[in-house]
Amino acid sequence: MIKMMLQTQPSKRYNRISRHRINLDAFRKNINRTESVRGSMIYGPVSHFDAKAILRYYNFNAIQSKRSILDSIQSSYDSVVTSLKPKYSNENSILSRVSPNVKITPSIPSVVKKRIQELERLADGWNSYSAKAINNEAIRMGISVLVQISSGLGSQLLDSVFIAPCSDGGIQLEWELDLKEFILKIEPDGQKMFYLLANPPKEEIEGIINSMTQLKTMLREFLIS
Amino acid sequence: MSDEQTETIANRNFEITDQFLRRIPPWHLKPDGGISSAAFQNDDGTDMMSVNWLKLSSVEHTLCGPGLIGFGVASISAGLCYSLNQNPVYSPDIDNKAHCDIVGHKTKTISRIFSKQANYLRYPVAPP
Repeated sequence: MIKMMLQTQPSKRYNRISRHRINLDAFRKNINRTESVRGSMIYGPVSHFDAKAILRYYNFNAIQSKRSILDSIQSSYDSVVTSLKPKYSNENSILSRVSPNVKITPSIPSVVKKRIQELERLADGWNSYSAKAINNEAIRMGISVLVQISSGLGSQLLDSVFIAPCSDGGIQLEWELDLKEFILKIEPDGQKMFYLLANPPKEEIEGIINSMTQLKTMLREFLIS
Repeated sequence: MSDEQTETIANRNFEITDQFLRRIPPWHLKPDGGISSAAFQNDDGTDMMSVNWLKLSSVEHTLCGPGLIGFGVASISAGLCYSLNQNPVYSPDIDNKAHCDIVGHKTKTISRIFSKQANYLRYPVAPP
């Protein structure tokens, strides 16, 4: 499988349009350790139409060699990895144009990784009362949830998440958007999840998460309502 | 305050204006300056959240002890507790006569209201 990485680097060749250029060699070196590659991972097969939407999403519509990039992706590449910042704030509308058989999985941003490492170091009694150390299962589930929800809802949720340690050894994923707030509590064993949705002036709602589909639906509504 | 005095007030109901102090770990400080509702959860395996009664304590007293670098202190009123069906109970320790428990199941909504309505007398400092 041939993969391609689009990364942000200064380029005289494309100086008219942007700082972006394609670096195939760099990605090939990383092909077996993709976790070190920053940004989104996009798994194929990527059609011409998919590629167009993806490249537009990643602000590639101005690149001179767009035609050749699109052709290359369509004919030769079944997977694309990019580390570019999205141009459009309304990610969903852009990404929804990509066919369902293309899975887009943003990797975890370094700031989130750093936060997770911080929480992993917390020992029993970290809150000065009787809190338990954060359970690895809760952290594992938290990462899994972040990756899964971001694959359908764009990187906004990854970039804005706050991860709070809980006194029982679980964690909370928290998002705030204007006056709205969504809290996802992951139990220490990583098996159960609870949510709180605050969307003033409506009454706060809380309950249990039964499936990832339910969570994605709730977060989608949280983002757009 | 003498031991006799603290014993006498042990059984009293708190006035709605009474204040309780809760330490806030630096890990609950959000990048935007807000405090996570996770700072107001019950102690693990109990239905109680430990606090200090302000009448017998202070910010300095609450933050006195090892390993509290970067911790903040929040103040919540007995009135707020009562309005959320939480019951403040005086429960002095041998080494802390100001110790109280806020007793009651804390839903996520209740924890969130505590975090939003608490008065932060000292803000936690984000870990380096």
